[in-house]
Amino acid sequence: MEQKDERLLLELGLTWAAVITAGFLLKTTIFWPYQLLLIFGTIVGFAFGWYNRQGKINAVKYFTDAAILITVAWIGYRVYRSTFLYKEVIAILTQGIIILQIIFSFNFSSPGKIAFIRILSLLVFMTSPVFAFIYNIPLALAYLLVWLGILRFQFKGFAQSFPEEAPGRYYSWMTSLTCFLLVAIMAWFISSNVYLGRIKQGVLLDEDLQDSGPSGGQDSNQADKFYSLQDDLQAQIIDLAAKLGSYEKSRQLIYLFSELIKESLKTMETDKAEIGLVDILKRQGAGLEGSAAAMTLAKEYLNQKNSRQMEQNKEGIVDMLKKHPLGMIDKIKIISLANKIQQASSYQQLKDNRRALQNTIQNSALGKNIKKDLSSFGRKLADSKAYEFYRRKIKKLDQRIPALSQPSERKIMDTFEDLKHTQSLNDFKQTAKEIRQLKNDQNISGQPTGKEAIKDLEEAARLKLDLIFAEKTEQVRSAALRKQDVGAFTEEFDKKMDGAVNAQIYLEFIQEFSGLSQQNKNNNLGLADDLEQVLDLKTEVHKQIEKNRLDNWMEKGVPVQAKQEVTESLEILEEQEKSADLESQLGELVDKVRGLEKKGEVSPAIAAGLVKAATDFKNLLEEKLQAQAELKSGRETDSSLEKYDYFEQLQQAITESSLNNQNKETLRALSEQLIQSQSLSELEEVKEGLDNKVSSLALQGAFDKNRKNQLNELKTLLANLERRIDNLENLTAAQISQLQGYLNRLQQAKDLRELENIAQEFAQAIGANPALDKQEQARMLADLQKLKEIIRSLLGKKVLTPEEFKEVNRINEKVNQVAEIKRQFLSSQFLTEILERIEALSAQDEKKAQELQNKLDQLRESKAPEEVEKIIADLKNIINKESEQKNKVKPKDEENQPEFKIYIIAAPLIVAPGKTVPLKVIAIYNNGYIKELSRDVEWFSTNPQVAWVDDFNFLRPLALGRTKIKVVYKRAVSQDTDVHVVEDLDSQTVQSIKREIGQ
Amino acid sequence: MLKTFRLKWFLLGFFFISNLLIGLKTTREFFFFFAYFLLSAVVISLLWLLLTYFSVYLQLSRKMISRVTEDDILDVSTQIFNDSFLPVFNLVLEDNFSCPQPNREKKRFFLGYLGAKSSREIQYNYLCSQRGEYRTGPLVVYFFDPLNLFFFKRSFQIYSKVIVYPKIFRIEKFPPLTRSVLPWFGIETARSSGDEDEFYGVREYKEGESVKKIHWISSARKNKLIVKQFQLQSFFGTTIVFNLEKEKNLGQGKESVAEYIIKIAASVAHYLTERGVSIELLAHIGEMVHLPFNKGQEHLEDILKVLAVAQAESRISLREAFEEFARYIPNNSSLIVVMSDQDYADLPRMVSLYSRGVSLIPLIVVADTFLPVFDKVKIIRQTKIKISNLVNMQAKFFSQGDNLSEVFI
Repeated sequence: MEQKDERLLLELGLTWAAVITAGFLLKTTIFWPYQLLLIFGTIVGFAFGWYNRQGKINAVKYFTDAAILITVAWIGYRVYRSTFLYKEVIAILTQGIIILQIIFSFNFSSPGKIAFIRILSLLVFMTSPVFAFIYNIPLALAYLLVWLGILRFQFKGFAQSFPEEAPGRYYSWMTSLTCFLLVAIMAWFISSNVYLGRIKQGVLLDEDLQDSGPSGGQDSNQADKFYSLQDDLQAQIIDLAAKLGSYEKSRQLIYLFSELIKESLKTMETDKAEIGLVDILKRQGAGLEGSAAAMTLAKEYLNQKNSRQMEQNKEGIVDMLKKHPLGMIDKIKIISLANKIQQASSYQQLKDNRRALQNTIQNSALGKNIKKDLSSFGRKLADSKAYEFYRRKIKKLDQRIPALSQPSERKIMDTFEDLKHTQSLNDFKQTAKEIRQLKNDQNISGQPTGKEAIKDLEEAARLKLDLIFAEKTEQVRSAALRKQDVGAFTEEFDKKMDGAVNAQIYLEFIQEFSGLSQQNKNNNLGLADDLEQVLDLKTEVHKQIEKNRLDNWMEKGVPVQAKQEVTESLEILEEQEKSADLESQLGELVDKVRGLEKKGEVSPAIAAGLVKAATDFKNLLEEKLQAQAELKSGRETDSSLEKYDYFEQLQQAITESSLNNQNKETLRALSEQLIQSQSLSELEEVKEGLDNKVSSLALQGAFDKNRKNQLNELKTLLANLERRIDNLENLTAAQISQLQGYLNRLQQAKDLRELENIAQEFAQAIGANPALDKQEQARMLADLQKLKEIIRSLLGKKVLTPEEFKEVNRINEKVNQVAEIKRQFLSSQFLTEILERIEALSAQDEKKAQELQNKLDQLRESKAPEEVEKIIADLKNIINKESEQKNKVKPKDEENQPEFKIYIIAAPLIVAPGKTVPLKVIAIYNNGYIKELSRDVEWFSTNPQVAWVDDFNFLRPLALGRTKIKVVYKRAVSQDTDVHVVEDLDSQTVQSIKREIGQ
Repeated sequence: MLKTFRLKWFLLGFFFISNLLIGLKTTREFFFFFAYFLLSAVVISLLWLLLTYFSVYLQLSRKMISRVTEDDILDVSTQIFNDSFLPVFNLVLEDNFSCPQPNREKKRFFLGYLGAKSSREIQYNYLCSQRGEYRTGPLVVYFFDPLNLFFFKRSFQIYSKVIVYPKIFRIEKFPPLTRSVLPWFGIETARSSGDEDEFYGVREYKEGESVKKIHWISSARKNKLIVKQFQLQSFFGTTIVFNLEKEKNLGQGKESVAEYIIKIAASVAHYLTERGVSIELLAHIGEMVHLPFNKGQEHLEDILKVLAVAQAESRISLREAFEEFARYIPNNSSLIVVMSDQDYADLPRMVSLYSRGVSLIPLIVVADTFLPVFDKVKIIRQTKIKISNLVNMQAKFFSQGDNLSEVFI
């Protein structure tokens, strides 16, 4: 055989292998006739092509061309007649490609045709995962390896191989294989780490994802599925509620359900609601038909809800990253960490990734607000994931416990139920104790299954404790945010909080915590109580770890009696509240252990281990006590009323100042305006007004030269009068105090009329007093006259006292502070806006984006304030011009508005008459865009006598009964939503329900 | 590289983008994986190539002879030495030689592996089908990535020169040279026996030799049969003349009038040199070439070099060329004109050189036979008649497809 033929045969073989492998990656149930056709067709085709490789039968060229044309037409016709669902279209195309491959095989020896067959096989390969249930990985790898062979083979096509084979002739093959593996690993690494936002429904092809199994279409119809699940659950619950014997119970059930479906629910709240719901259903026993189904449905619903929340949080992160400029590496890092959190397979992994995510966000070059939002999303994501772990564990236990032997099952079941109901630290302590008891119970922990169940219980308890802790820290965070508003302090607080949450060793936590309590003290956050709870919770986490260590030591061979003794003294140790007591109790414990060691009941190694663990435990308790003490010392100063907030300080300064009411009002109004100003220019205007006001007040005081003299005169006069009054004889104490009262009133007179009146009364009082010496009377009246004049002059000029002057200065200072903060806030907002614009513009109009960028650079470099103002004005002009243009373009977009579906989102659809309920309507567009509709919606009620919806989207229930409402928006109609109008829940019932669920 | 792999880039891009889009659409991991697979393959290939390209230092050298005759095989040996500390995988060595037939100019060799600090020698050969002066090179090395997606090319400006002499055919019998020129040392000589004339020495008589050759005086003196040996002295001077006129160069490639003229001239020169005849070359090949009388191998080389590169670029007719040449042709010499029959009208002018004692041997290529004609024999006959009518002499006729050495029998 000639060399040329040999080459052709080899190429033929490789190509055939590629074609067949790709063909058999397709799902056999759909494609088997084509797969058979492919095998026989290509064999016949290649055989014919081989026979005709010299081109003896030239006509085959024309036959194949004709066949190709016919096949293409056939494909087109079939697509035209199809349902246009993407799977069907792809199936038709794939079948067409198979036929084309067979046709090409008849003429493969023509130049280029064989390469064409290979490329077609690549197309088949690409479509194959659409039809496979489980992707056939070995076959896919085989296919890729065949390609490697083809590519390798082409070396020889490019050049003749070296005449004599030298040593190391396999190296080249080895490198190719290595390279292939490297590529596969890299691809795997990227695909498992890089998350790309999925395109939503309706962009490229219309999807039919309903039948796509668990692996596909998770996104676009998720909302649909979720809400339909919610509807199912709602129907079930309402059904059950009707069946429940007691009216109270059905009320509770419906209330809990309405709690459960709230969108903004936090993990622990969800947990509470679910436990409550399940409890009610369980208590009814097996008699209640459908309760088991409802429980499973509720569980399924909550699982979905949790994963939905996770998805939303992650999307939130992705969206934020899309909106704000950030380096690619950081972006990928953040997204990949968020992905890892979502896909974490163990709790430790979750914790590690959570920490890494927070660090990455904090170290990234983003704005404070963005960082804050991002890390909040990250925390929520991690919390949801932790909740998922907890739920999984619970589910596992649910399955495991019934398999245990009778007596132990009951005990474990009790503990398990307690664990489920654990909602606070105290609950937890109780549960932990129970678990410990179980552990010490030889009957249970002796069995391997029991042991495993206990282990699971412990893990679940740990997860629960972490959940409680996470919830508490979130509370503290939001409380701190409310107190401090956005600023450097909040950032600082958040950072410390992150440190505290993520601390792995207790000492680290204590350090961070002392920072927190310091800040609480300095800024008067009043969070001492909350922080103490945080401290307690975290301490409990570490206590558990220490206790486990102690337990481990004790497991190693401490006799039962001794074990109990040690446990008891440990419990005493734990309850001590003073450092010295701790010390002494530890001493006792150590003595006890040593005693045991001497008796020979405990080996020296175990004794040493026990002592070490106990000392660590004591240190932990001691540190906690210190931290608590520090926190409490901070709480004492909480009462000092100085406000942290500059605005509040300003308000306080104004209120406390001795200015007259008019001035106060003006200042207050201006400062309100200042804080509410929306733009820098507005801010400057208000600030100027305030400055003018304040300085006009201040100037009055500063430039009045007579003021001091007059005040001195006033003082002496007052002193004289007082002395005179004191020296008056023949007067009763009551009379003297009356006169002094006049004097005081005179001094405090606010306006002239009052002054005149008081002076008049005073004069009359003096004159009317018969006991007074006439001379003395005249002197006093003269003094009074003088006093009156001075006060009149002072009042007329509205001069400030030094105290007032100080006050004005203080107000001025506060005004400046508030204005400065507001200015920073506004400029950062403005800059963010510009950055966003630049980002958006750079996609459309690079020139303009460049212009903006240049201006921004100038702004960064500029030093003089005038320059800054000028550049900002320029920037504004550019942006305004641009947004005008945008507005002009907008209507066009609205014309081509895509299709959408609308949903009524109403949490409590079980309402009492007379109570209005706000309803939310959202439209989910096909492109994934979700919009809340508030106007232009039209409501319909099947039974308007029972309930109707007003123009402001408030559901107005009128009478008891049932009705269905739906909403119409631009020809789209929502699904019917049931409304049950039931009697009002009285407060007592609510209270009882709340008590029930432990709120 | 982008240009070289346009199709490959296009396909990779197409498959990458479509996989990514399908992945985004269907959220199936596989499509993402495959898209990233393609991306990774490209990235790793390019990185590999960059590493190889910038880290590998190769030294190449080529060995070959510089003279070869048309239709002979030229053996080349190229040495490639990897002077870097890294081995090289998958490289292709390419050598370029413009002489061979189209599409065979490049020789490529695939080396799967070349170790660090090691060298390999590659031997290959070319068939030199066309006379001329050629350059081999440059040597080009293609660095391939292991997946054979792309390559980087590096040229090594290593050139070698080779001259391909025109093919020489054997001449059995050449028309006798009837005229000669006086040798420069002025001794009157005459041909006596047809043997070489210059005395060379004596030797013993060998059986079978002509008795006439015995030198009786020496035989008597030595008492054994002695023959005298003579060496031909170049008192025969021959001028070879041709004109490669572009207009009249009929035929294609090697089967053209000019090629035949060159071949005939080269063969005649070779024949005459072997016989010690002093040769002068007068030719017009776009410019006038004059190689004065000389003899011996070196002179033949000079002539062949001229003939190797000669191209039909002359814009003047043989007649005009001859006017130029005439003054170089000495009296009493032989003149060999290799010409096309299209120039037969110029023959009388040459014949007129008889007056100067120059004898003319026209070697005539029948041009019309180089055209696609049916009746070659008729054309040749007509030409022979035409020219024989014109001059009465012993002309030789050559036509396309002739075995040229047969013409001289």
